[in-house]
Amino acid sequence: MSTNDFDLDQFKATYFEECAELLIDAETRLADLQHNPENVDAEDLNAIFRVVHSVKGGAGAFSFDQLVGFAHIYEALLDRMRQGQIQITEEIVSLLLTANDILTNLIQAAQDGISVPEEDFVDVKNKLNLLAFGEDDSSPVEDTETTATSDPDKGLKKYLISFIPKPELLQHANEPLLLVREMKGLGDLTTTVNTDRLPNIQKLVSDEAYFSWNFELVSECSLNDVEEVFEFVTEDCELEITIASPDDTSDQADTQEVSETSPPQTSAPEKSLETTKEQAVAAMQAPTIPSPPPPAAPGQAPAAAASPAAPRVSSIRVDLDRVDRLVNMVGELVITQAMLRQQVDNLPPELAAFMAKGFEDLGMHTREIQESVMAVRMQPVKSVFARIPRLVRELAAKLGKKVELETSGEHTEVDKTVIEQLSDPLIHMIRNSLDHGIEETPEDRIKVGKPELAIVNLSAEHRSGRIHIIVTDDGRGINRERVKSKAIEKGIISADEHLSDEAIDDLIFSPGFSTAEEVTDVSGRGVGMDVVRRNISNLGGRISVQSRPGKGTKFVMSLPLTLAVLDGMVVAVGKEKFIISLTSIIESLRPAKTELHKLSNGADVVSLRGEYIRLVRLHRLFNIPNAQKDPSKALVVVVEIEGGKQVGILVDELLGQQQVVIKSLEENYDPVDGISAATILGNGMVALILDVDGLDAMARQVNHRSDRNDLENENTDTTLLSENSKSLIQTADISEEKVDIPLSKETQNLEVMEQN
Amino acid sequence: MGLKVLAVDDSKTMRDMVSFTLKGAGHNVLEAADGCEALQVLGGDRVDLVITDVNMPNMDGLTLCREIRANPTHRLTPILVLTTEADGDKKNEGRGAGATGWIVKPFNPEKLLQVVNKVCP
Repeated sequence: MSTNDFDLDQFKATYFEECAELLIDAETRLADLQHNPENVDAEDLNAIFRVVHSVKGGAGAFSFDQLVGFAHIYEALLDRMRQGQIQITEEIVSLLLTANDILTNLIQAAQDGISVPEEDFVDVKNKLNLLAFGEDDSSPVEDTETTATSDPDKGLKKYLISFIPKPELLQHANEPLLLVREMKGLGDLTTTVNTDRLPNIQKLVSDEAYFSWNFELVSECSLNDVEEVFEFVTEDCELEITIASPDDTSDQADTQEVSETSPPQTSAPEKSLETTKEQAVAAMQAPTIPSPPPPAAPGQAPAAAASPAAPRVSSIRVDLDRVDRLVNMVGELVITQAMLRQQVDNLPPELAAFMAKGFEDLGMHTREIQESVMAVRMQPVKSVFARIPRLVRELAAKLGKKVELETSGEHTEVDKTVIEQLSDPLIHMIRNSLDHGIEETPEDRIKVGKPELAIVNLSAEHRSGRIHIIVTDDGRGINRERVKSKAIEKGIISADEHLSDEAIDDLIFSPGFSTAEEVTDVSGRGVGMDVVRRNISNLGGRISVQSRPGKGTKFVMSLPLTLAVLDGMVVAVGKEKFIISLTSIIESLRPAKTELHKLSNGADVVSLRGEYIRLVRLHRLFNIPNAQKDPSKALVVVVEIEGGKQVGILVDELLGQQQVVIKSLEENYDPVDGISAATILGNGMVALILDVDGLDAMARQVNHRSDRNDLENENTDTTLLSENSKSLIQTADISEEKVDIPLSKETQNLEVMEQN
Repeated sequence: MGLKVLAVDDSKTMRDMVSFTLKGAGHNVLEAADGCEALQVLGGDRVDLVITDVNMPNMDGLTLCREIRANPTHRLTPILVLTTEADGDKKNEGRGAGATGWIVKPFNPEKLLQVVNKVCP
């Protein structure tokens, strides 16, 4: 079979996938070591060793030489450590962390098909070398193949081989006959069996070795080739290989013919005769050295031997595609089920009652299947969290800060689709905490009476059907003066604007905002917190910040557990039906006429318990005919949007709660403003899922367009509402009276109104 | 005629490659991710050859060798140990545990088949 038949490249994808998993495991365990260097769990070291071992094994098969070289030294050090030959100190652990980072880089480089400049990691490599081998410059991978030189004497040789097997040979499942077969492949073989040791048949023991052999091998092969035949059994037999004098020409002449019919293997590398002679002597002496007694089996690895009885979590690897297909099909099933259920209501009563029972069961089972399938895709956030320690280490080193990362809740599970989207915003939050949150230098911290070591805490938890990712630091908190002046400078707010502390903190999420004097290469990757907020919001999530000056900052990111299904409220506007995510709904109400006000720019607000809430008229945004336009005759669904603000969505009626399967609009159609996705209702109709944040933005833009159907007495010199929060407070003209209307609750509206 | 081979390795990449190579040569391959799983797969069935990695979680390759040798059914089943280390230590340990032979990594398909051929009739 040719080499092409075994193209190993097809396994590279699996390898890199596996590497990614292995690295996560190593990272996690290294973090354990870091926190507890005095009391090391032996299994942690073993597991990290296995990770590096596996990485190296695969890298070798694909000839990623740089990776193999580094992994080899790293592995050797870990091996010495797990054997207790090296004391584990903080320095060692930090060296391991660095080594692991380099390993990660090398794997990435191998995946990208590039190589990493040696000088990038030569220092670490030397340090590892020194610890692992006690030398500074060892050739990492010994390559015996290339050092072999070709045999100058290519002529036929005659080998005399005496072979006396020990019982161990058979007990290790080696078979003398196979050795004979192997030698026959090398050249012309004459075999003599010595049966002297064979006892009387009654005394015969089945796995005792009684035969011994004398072979005469005439071949062009090297001594090395002959020795290789006995490679596995040298310790389990008495073996003597001698080369008959080269000038024994008669033998050579005699066997010439034969060896032509069975050509010797010449592909194997050959060594010079000088070295082979030395090896021959060694080989002849070797058998006289008694082989070490087999170690006592039970004592060797008690932990491992005990494990078969222990319960094991068995798992299988499944392609994500298959799971996705299953999730989709279950989604369809849910829809079909709901469609059928609706048809039941059209049946004659006696039949309907009969069917209803069946549908109740069917509905329950469907729901259960759906939950089970969704559970398959649930994964602990650990895979995302595991990347963070490294990020923190690298950033802290770059910024000259001393930071320790604490994590908790890494086993909190969330849908795989969410996991994939979690990483970027999380990294940004962590960067932000390290760059802006924590004091400039450790000395600065000591000056304000804080410990030198800053703590960044990362945690995950489930809260009311969502996952909360919380990043807390014990840094200096948001500098509100600076944020405010920056916001004024950038024109995000006006200079005389009165904002609460929370509102100022929230400004860091405003588009175009960045407090760093200049863009640093840590936080400033061209992406501001506004983009983070937008991305999170696209996932149906929220991000908020709480800060205490001098004490620290806390970012809370809240995301749905899955992006595949949604618990929604079905609402009707005209003939259209929309879905509003239940988690964003606060309340629904029908406002009295006196509670409705109109701003000079055409925007409607409803006053609710002393606060003013902007109304979003869906029929106007989406041009829906025959909708109820009078809010006092329709319904207002109050929803929470970004930054804890509230808006009221005007709908005709609420049709009920329903779990819906999310169908991406981007994938199946095109993105639409104000719509986050679509779904199919029980009657087969497509209903759109509202993106409440997007609606709010749209409403602000649309408000300045005059809508002649709705606005009869529009004031012509109104101030336009712009998208940003500068326009949150506008001098407005409401009916007869003139007051300032703050549009969000954090602007502490009443106070402002009274001041004016 | 194909052999029935049990390939044991915690690395899926390695299992895949061993499996692929052996199947390409007409053998049947069973797989296990560690020693414990290997013993489960073996059960009471005979296989013609076991190829195992040394470093694995739950039960390592050497313990697996000893367990297999201790079982009358598999007492004479050839076992090949995959090692990265070319040094004698690991080989001796393997031998001590009852291994028949070894395959030194890096993994190479031709070499694997060569060694398989060497220990199997």
